Amino acid sequence: MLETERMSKITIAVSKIKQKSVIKTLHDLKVLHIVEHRKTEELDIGTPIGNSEKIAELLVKITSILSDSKEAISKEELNNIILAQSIIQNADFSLDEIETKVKEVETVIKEKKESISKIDASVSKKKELILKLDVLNSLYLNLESYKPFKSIICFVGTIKHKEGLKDKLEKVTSTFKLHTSQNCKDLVVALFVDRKKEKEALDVLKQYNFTELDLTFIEEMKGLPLSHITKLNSDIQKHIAEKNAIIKKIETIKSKNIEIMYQYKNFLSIEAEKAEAPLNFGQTKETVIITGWVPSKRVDKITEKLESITNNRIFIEPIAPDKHESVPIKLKNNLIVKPFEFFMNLYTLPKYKEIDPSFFIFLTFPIFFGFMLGDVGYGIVTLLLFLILKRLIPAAKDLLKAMMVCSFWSILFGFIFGEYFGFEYVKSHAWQTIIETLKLPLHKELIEGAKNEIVYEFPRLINRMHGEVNVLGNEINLVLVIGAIIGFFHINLSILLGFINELKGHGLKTAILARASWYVFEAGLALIVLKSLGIITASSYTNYIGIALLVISIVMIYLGEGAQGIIEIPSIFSNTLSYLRLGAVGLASVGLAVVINEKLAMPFMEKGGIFILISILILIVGHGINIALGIIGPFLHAIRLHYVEFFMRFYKGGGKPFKPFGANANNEEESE
Amino acid sequence: MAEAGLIAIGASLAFGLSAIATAIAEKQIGAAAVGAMAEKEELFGKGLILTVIPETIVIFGLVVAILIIGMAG
Repeated sequence: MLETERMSKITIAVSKIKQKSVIKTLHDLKVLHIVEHRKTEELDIGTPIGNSEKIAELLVKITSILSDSKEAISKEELNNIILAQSIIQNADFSLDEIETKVKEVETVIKEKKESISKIDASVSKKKELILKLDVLNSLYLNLESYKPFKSIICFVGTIKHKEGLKDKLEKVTSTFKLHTSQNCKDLVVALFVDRKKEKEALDVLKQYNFTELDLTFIEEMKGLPLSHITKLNSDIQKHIAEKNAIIKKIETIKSKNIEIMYQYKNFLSIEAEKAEAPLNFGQTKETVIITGWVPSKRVDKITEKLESITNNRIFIEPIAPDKHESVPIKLKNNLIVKPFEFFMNLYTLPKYKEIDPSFFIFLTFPIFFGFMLGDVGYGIVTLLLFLILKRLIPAAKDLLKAMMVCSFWSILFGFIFGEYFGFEYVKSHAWQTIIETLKLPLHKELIEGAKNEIVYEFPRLINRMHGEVNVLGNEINLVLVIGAIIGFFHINLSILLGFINELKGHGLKTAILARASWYVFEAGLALIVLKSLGIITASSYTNYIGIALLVISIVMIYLGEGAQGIIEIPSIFSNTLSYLRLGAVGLASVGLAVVINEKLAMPFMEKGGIFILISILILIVGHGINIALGIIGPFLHAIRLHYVEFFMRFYKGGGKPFKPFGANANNEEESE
Repeated sequence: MAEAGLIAIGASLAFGLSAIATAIAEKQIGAAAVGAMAEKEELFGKGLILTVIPETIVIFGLVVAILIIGMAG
């Protein structure tokens, strides 16, 4: 529990022929943390096995299909599929099978996409045509009439205005016919004129900012433009329907294949991992050498398994690690403490020889949290909240489990402080009948003041906020004092753990000089304080004993930790005082709750009527905010007390995590 | 009554000023911590701890404020 998992370093030598089956077995066992082989003169780096390039290529293709298909199904379905995938482990496919399927899906989707783009092109062409026909539409002329004749030419287009146009044209020629019509935004003009006067007529038109419409698109079209527009529009509608059908088909293809694609992806990533494993091995011409760390208790099992699979044609030997080699760290805690390993992963893992503090975090973190957020109502709400979140976010399972323990302590301290959503009493007139019929043994008390109210107080062990009901001059200091006392014990525990760590790491002498010296310091200080407070009254006792102890301890600290230790002497006071936050953060939280209840909500509540709704709203929003603060604040302060004040005297950390070959994100659990 | 007012002002100054001091300290540490995290995400835990270290200042401020109010009682 206090130690991390004991590890043994082993080296495995096996013939290349057996390499593949050995890799497979190791991958299934998930107990070997492979140490990367560095190229040396005798031992080259291994080469990937199997078809690793093809696997990588297929993986890329599948990933692109998947990222393309994600919108095809709902998020919920997707989560279900991913969840189901993590359960299926032993799916087996052949690479050819995967390749054919991937190709099939790819080509089908590609074909469909091509036909979609064809439809899009034709639709946009038709839309363009409609725009042009729209211009002609307002003139109400048959399309045939625009065709060029032997002696008459036709200009169609838009002009800015038409004032005096006719007169000017008459000056040029007498044989012309002019049609104008106001389109929605332009003035459309069609001028039929004698071919001989073509140039002059055009010049006149140009004075009116004439923009000519290219009429070649008319070709063989006949009749009024409107009929063509209607037909084109209905064509476009048909195209859109066609396109939607194809899109739907693509979606079905995608959603039908998404599951199998995920299976392929998982399978292939495992295969890729196996295929690339030899890059960490050493190899000679005929053999591969695998070096790695195994939990000591598993060495026999891994040996046995590998021997049976290779018919004893394998060489497995424990080797002594280098002195400075870092051993991979696997925390070893029972089921209850395990969620609290989260805090170690968040900070830094212990070194191999260090104590694993998870157990102490399990002991004190929830108590600190509960002490700060000590409120029955808040405890229950946060407990439910963490329960729901645990369902919703499986990734944060460990943290939320730990937080649920914290909520439990919150409820417990809520009873000790007698606080229920910041209420410490109920008013007599509203609750009298309920309390008397249920015979609740609540303490009756008189609040003196303007109203002289009688209230029923909830039972409590420790006063936090209300004390003798009025806020000023109550026994508010008690929780602060308790905080400091907890701090004193916590820091002394930290010194004790530091002593054990030093004992293991540097021997008894350093342990005594660097850590036990602090106890001597505390003892000397305590003697002086007790004497000066007049608690020790024996006449033969003088302060010199205490002073002597202080001097001895300071010398010891100097010998043990050097000048840095001397500098740290004041920190033992400030660190102990830092635990005052246990009380202070709680006071801030309960203070806010009391303000919400008594200053904001209750005045409205007493007005009655619609104001009751407002006061309920204030209560919900106010306590919602206070609970959010009440989770963040106590969490940070509790964790900080551990990381800073508690860890300072014994914990260094910096261990590298144990990552067994074959354990990926989907599947962290070790097969026992 | 005037005495009580002065005590209240003293308490609020003790708390408010230390809160401002904490905020100034955390501002700089927080910015640096976020910067470090952008480079290396594992530093979240350490960054968080470093950021809340000045929180002690405001706690002491609160304690002093409470002691001042206690004097009034």
